[in-house]
Amino acid sequence: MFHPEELIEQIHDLPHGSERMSALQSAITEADNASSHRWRIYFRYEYIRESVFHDDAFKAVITFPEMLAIFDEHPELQDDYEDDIMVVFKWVIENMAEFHQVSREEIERFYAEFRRRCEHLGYSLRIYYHKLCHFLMRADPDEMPKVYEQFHRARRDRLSDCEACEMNFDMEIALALGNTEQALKIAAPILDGQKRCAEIPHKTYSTLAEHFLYKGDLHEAQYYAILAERWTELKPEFLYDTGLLLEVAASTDPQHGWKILKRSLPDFVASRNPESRLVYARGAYRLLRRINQLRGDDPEGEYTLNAIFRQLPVTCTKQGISIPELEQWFYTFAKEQSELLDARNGSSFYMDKLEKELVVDTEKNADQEPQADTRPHGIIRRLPAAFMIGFTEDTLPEPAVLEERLRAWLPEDKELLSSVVEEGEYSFSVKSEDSLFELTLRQVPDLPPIPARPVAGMDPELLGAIMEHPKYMALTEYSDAPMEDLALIAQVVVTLFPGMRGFVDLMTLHAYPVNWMKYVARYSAAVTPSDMFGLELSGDEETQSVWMCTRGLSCMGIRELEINGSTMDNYTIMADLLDEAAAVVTSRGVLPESGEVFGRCRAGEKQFVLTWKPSPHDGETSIGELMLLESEDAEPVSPADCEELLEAGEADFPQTNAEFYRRRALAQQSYPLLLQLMDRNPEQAAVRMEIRLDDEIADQVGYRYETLWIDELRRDGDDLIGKATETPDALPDIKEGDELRVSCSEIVSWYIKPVETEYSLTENTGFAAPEVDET
Amino acid sequence: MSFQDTEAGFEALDRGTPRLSAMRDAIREADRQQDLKWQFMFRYDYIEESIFCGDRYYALIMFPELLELFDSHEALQEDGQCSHLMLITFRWIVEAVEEFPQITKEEIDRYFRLFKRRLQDGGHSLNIYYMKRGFVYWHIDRAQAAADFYRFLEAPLDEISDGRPLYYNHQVEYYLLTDQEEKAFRAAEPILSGKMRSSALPQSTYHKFLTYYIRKGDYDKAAHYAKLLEPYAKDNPYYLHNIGTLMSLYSQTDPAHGAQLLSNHLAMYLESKNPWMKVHFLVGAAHLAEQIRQTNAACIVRVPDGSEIPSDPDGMARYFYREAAKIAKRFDERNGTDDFMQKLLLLPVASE
Repeated sequence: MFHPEELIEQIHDLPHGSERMSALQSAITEADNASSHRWRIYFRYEYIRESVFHDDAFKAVITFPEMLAIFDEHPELQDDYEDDIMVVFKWVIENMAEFHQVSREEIERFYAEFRRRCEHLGYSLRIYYHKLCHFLMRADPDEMPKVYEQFHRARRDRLSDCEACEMNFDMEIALALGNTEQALKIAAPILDGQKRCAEIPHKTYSTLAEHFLYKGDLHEAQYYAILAERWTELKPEFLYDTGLLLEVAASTDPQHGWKILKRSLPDFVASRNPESRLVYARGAYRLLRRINQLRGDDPEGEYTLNAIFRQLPVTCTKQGISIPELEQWFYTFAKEQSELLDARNGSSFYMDKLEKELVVDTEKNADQEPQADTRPHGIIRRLPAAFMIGFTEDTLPEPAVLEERLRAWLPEDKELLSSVVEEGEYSFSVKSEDSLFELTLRQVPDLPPIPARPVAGMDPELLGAIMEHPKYMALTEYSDAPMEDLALIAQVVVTLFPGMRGFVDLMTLHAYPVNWMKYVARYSAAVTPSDMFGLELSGDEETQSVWMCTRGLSCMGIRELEINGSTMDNYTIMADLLDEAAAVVTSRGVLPESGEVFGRCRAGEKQFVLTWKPSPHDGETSIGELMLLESEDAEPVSPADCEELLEAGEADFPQTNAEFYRRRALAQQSYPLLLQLMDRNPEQAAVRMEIRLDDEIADQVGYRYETLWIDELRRDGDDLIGKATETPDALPDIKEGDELRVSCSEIVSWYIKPVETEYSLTENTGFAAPEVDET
Repeated sequence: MSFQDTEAGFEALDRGTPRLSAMRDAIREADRQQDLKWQFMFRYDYIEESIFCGDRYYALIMFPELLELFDSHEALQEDGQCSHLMLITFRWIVEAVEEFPQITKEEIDRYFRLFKRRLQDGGHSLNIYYMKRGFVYWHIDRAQAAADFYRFLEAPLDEISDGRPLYYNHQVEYYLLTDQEEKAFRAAEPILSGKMRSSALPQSTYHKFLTYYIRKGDYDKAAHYAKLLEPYAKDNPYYLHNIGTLMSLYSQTDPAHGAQLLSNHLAMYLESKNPWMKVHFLVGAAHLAEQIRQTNAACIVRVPDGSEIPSDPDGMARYFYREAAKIAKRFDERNGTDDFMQKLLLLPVASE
């Protein structure tokens, strides 16, 4: 029996992509067998949509003619499915041009048929002109402006693309006509975040990245490429855009490009979309060519051992796969596909792009003095993150041993994609869900002294001892979730180096003890924004001036922030302000454009907003100077010149929920540790619990949850029982001294004073518990 | 008195019949004076009152007039407020049409096609269209309802949509109807935790869980939601159908309390002109009355003076069954399914 509702449920339980495509194909077969025509159309619609938006559009192009035929054969269904057919038609005419196997005549025939149906059914021809322009940009650019004018004359209707897509299209046309300023003006609502849809601003950013790259403006190209990468997440359906990112990386950051290439190569291999594959191959070719250029005559690095490239038809030897051969392969592939598409279109659009020589970073700066950074973007290219793993012995574990330990530890939700064991070095990449984590570990026998600051109870003497022994250096690049990455680094490092005595973040210059690493490895919420950056201070005794700057924001792709002009007298206030400002941008993961507001504070009676401007130091391209504004349209002033701040002596920042939720998550994650500590009969122990209020009371007080400290705790299984420390106003049934039972899911904070320690522990300082060290 | 003052004066009247009556007078006066804007606005007010404080019967009667007025006057179509309110009214009406079995399936489809076209022409999301049609089609064509549900999930919300709380509430309904309890609880979390509320929430969500657990025979869990729902539902004609569901539960758990509920709402049932409200009420009453009859429970049901409802347990049980079956069959015939009769027969009922 044919049960479409069951098929629909099964399909929607599957993730987008090949699994869902397969289930939809089966549903189509069942509907065909049941001769259920409306469902034959419905499931084909869903199949085509999946193919267009979550695959390579190949199946969409093949399936559409069948769907159209069924629709035409059944006029009784036309009222219900006319809209669906026309929507699918517009997707298909846009995507079919990406397949050189579809002849120009066929494309023109489909366009003519689409136009006929639009006119017959009373739709505006706006969408027809829109899609035609898209094709003409590649096939007949001289004809395109005329058609574009007709697009704008036609009215919007229900078949038109959404406003965000049309805005992006207008921007593309402006760029194609050479009008960059106009294009950016058109795209402003997209760039500001006001206009969004499933593919915008993803496509907008990658288009702008490509435009600026081909124009030779590498700084802007890289900026938009960073944003495009964050939005597309290198997903398979954005293979075309990933190709553009490879092109940009070839000119600006080949090392990062190599990472993108490794991560996305399987999607290139699986895709059947000629245009996407072509653009990807072009990007890969440029990247590999640049890598080979940088290598020069140095034989090291000519081969890659990374197994991912074995998917390509290239020679694999004992030394590995030759990078020059890879470069040649991708060039040949890109050339073949470009020629096929150009031949079909009757133009040279793709070959012109392939043959164009693009500017690369060194060439741009070769004969020029470093320019002051005048472009006010808050987001920058991520710098690698580097760490030092310290020991108090001279013998370091060998890379082969690290490999064994990693493989033994690897959790089920992670897959080891590649690992390379070399003399003195071990590197690997691990995939989990959508993210790729890569780490390189290198033995470093000697390192100059590092001015690291002991934090989290790190013993300064131990730190000194560590500096005198060989170390391992770890290198990685953070993803869009850097705090989670640091927790993962802790897990890996604790596993691979059981003899570790200390850990130094070489960017923030924080030095951590082992038990902090173990704590973070176990409870990821223990990582705070303050762990992601440090402050560097530098004073001049003669002038009594102090300069300070953050360190570590650049590893998260955010400009470092500095304060100029503070003095020996006021530098502590300035340092607090800079610390809070950096915590704000770390929590959000972004610093907006220069002049934009990113935070608020109060100093004395006055409210201020935080902003920044490019650093006045020549040649600096990754630092912004922190500024205060009394109101959003006031003149910015340096904090060191802000009288109200100096008089107040401190700045207050508004409390946010982020820290509350982090502490709550950490309190609940570390609850097992609390129970362990309770078993040792502590001197004192208390938890703060969260209680949901009745609707009526919540309406009266204006909030839904009350928190309450419970002390004199005792353990009862996995729960704790204690006494309320106060009589809360919003909880009339609870009085001070009442006994309450608390479970893990109800706690938001805890503290405990074990007998053995001199001080109390909370969820934030739980790493100091002896129990943590024992594991 | 200006029309503005007239409209302001509605607030001082009791909701329901008194306001509807005053609004009818205002419509007549606006028609007499040929004041186009107020002809529209008073009709809109009337429909809104009937939808939220009546039984939607008068809303359905008035709607074609409002639509005709709007469609024949460009001035109204160019008025941003009127265009917006026209769509809002459409939104209410496409949900209400299902409640009257005299409205054929073809007419329901016609209303929905018109609503869809209006949304598209206004550049609006089809989220509300798929939501309402899925809701209506559940009793007509499950597969279509499923297809509409997933399109509803994907379509963006906009100013014509029912809002984020009801977006989640609709998910709860669908997941419970398709026995996906875990998903239903995930969708319900923001509502049950109090993070999201609206004029219809959380009581609508409570009702969905109540209905689900009755269907599953888990009366303990059903009782939890009944306790939460009842304060909202009692004495409110908008929730007459909820009273029916409560009575179905109490027939199994607390017939005495059910009898009290029945007594207190019989007058409201007798006054109602909404078949959908009535059939749900009657189903619950049939379940309760049969339980009272079978168990000889010492429950007193006070019947309004002069009503046709028998006061003896046997007669009462047969009456409620007969009346419920009559309307249920009309719905089933219109819809082409047997959902309403199945609901009636879910629990023991008297034979005819």
